[in-house]
Amino acid sequence: MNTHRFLRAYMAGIVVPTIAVPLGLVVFFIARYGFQIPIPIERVVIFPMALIPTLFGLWNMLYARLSTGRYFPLGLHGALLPVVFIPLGMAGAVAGQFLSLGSKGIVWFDAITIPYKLFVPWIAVVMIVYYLIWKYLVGFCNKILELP
Amino acid sequence: MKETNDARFKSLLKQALRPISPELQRDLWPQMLRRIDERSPAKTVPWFDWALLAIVVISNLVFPHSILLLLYQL
Repeated sequence: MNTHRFLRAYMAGIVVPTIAVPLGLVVFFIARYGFQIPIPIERVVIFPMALIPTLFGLWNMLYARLSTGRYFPLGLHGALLPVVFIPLGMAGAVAGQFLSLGSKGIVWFDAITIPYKLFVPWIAVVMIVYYLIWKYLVGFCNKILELP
Repeated sequence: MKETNDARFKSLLKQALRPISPELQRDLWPQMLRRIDERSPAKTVPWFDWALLAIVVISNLVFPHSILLLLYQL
């Protein structure tokens, strides 16, 4: 299967977030209505639903381009995606008015505060999650669609 | 004489060989997949990845609210 390489890469890339986003939404609904955490769901869901699957697809297309003729670890490629995602997500959160900078740390949803000293470790955890997702889940989809 | 021999030879051949069905008797794709799996080396998750997964799980247990932030970024 040598044709439509980038289309296959895009399709393989969007599988995981397309499945994960509805599951994530369920968790948000449980947090909002079950645990009464004041999350403005209608504003929060815009970023995950609109952008993340598309960016996964585009990032996998970039991988298909970069890995042509050379070895490039997919996990490492995926781990770099939060470098793009986190600023975009935070910008979306500021625009949606559910992120602010407090005296002790970054306040999300007017309820969750990440102390400034834990911000970098939090980014590292996000990168680890992305590394694992891309190495195993996106890698599996790529294998099925006969991508490197 | 030659035609008789040919007809006899034909009937002997028919008796000796089993009839061949043009349809496949079974689905060959699962067998093909099995052969592909046998050829590829067994994949095991390296200890390093287990350690990374443990870091994620522990951090989410220590800071359960961070699960929402993680999901927001997924």
